[in-house]
Amino acid sequence: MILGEPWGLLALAAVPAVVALHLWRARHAPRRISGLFLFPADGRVLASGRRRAPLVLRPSFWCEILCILAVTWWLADLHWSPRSAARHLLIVLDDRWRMQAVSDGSSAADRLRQALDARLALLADGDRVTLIASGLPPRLFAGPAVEPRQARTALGTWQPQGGWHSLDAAITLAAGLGGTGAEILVTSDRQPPRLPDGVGVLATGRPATTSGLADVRWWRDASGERIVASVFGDSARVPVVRVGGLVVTGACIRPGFHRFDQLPPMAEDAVAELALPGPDALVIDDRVELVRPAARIVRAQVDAAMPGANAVQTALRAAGARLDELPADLAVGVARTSGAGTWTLRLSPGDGTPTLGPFTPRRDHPLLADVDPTGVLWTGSAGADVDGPLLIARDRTLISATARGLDQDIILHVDLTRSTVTRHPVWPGVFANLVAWRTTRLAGLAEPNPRCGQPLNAMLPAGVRVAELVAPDGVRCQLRPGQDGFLAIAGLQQPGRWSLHWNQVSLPISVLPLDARQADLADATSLETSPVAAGRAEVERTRSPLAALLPLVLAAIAACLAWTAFNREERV
Amino acid sequence: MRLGRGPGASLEFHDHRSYAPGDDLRHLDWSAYARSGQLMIRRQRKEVSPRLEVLLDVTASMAITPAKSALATALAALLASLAEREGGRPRLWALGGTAVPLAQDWRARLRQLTCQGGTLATANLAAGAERILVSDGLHADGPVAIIRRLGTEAGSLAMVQVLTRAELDPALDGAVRLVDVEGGEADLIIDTGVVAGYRQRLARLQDSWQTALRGRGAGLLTVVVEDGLDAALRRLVRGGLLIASGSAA
Repeated sequence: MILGEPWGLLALAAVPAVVALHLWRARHAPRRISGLFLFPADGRVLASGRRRAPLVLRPSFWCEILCILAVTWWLADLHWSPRSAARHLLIVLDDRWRMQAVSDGSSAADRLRQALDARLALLADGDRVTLIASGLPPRLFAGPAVEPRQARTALGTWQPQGGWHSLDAAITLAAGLGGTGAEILVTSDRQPPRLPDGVGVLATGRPATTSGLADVRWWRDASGERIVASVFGDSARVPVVRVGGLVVTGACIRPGFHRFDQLPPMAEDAVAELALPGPDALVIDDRVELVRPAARIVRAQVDAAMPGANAVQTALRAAGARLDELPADLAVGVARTSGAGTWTLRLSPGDGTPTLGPFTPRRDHPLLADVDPTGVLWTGSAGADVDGPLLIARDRTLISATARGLDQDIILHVDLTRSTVTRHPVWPGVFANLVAWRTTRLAGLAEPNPRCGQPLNAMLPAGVRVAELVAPDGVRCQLRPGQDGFLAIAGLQQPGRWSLHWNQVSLPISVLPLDARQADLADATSLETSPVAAGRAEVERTRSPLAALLPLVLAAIAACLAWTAFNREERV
Repeated sequence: MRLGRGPGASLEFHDHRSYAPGDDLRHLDWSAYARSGQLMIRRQRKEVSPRLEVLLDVTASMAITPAKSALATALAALLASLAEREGGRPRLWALGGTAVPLAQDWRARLRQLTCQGGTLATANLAAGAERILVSDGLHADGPVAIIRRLGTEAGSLAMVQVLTRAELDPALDGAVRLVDVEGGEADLIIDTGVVAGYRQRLARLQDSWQTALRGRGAGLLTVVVEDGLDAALRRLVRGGLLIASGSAA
């Protein structure tokens, strides 16, 4: 025996209540007399309901218990088998936005909706349908195993708007849900590749030539701001950029590649709209909204009194850092409190031992990327027991870096007064890498305008252990960063305006519906092959109206009988 | 007219009794006073009408048990039959919510009576007739009012009180709902205290009947249903309502 709604068993709590009521009912046995006035009035003490009496199993008691059991049956959905045999049609809906491509006044999605509606209308009431929208991951759009009527209703609300993905995951899910005996129908705008045997196809696409935005970026760095757009398909289509209602003039660098440098003054939360005017079969990638990226510039504070301060300041300035702006993201020679995402750089002459190499750098570290110290007279070093060695010469450590949470402590073991390192390309190279590395660790989003499906990276400030990501449809999910505050967000599949929140901070994210793979409609076609029916499938049992009505009728009859019996018992 | 057994207003001497305050001074027997030095009242034989009116209570309480209604009906029929045999002119009344005279075919109509209602209606009774009320006397409006209504211009008025054993002595039933067949109900626990109070009230009620019937005839004669008709007749004989020779009162 199986309970569909175990919480319905709570109705059984009425049984002890009824028993208690009957125990304390203390109904007075009626006595017919002929001289009531002879009984003393002060002796007529009401004793009903206040004294426990032996439980008398009267008919009203049994009827009340029967009524409770019937209601429990109805609430708990008591049944014997969780499954029943029925024809089960699983439909994989291609949820990529290219199904929105319009041809001859109707989109592939519209035509697919009509074709499926007609097919579902032919199914019997006892048949079952499951709608699976493809995606990463695929999702149940209707079901599992709902009645065709419910599937048709759900199908009317379907709007394909997902990013690029394969249908394989959805087909695998359909095969798992359906089991043996189920029919699987894959829908798309073309023949899907590598379909399992027996799977039917319903394609409603039509070949068309389309063009659109392949990629759009809003750059903001020390050299200024600019929007760059790439157009595919038809290089004659020129994008139009509006910022705050003002049209921005751009330049065509080469066919299909446009740059907009002259952006007007704008607020930090400004939005730029970029659109491709003109008709197109697939319009979703003809217009995007970009949010203004935050300025991600490293602020550095240098102790001017330390040896070699000028060389350090020059190298930092050349790397794009801003000096002497507080609060500093990078402190050079300045003591900082730890635990607050502090990055410090210290120059330590060490024991003053000179060396010409050979140098052994840690190649995978961002601080030493593309840095070759060959030819440097390096004076000063530390022993081999220093934590986090990055550059060593024989058994001496020249550069080391240690991380504690969000803190980073970098030490250059060098005596600048005697070393030639400041006159070697390794000096600006290390500082350029340091600033670039620090930039990637600044709090905020690295790219607020990702393309659909593009992974997203964010850094959360020290002390923030959870952030909330809000989708365009209002769905929220909580994300927890790593120990270093780094938050990796998997590719967002839903185009539109997202937002990332922590504490009182809210960062907008505009996921752009840009993917040239979806704009290729050359292979679109219409075809229909029916799935192979292998008998009836086992589907989840659904509660039939009769099964739902029976316990209610029984409960009503029991309640009426209980009422009648009660009145009869109370009647003199 | 004929002489009755009790004292009355005929010319025939009946007996003497001691004077009591309130007695009519015209009835003082001065000769007896002269002989004995005590004030004595001279009582004459009662002149009674040979007409008998049997007033049968047919309120709902008389049918509390079938045996009770059967005994009451049997007593009424017996009294009427005896009176008829003695050459009297018995007349039966069924007193319930309304007073219904039972005519010559009273035997048949007695069997058809149904007990209902809670009060004794006033009947258009004959003046000077001997009246016997067969009832349980369990009426909340009290004996005085009933006797005032039924005893007007009566030659005599006696009452045969028919009670069941349970009415005389309620059982210790514990928690019960008492439903009066003539209306009203109450929940109570019948314990020894309640039973004692009931007995006390019943005794007071019977005293009230005796007081109301005093000087009107045989008074109140209580019979118990469960004791049967024979015991009831013996009680009537002992009470002077019947005489062993078979003459009606």
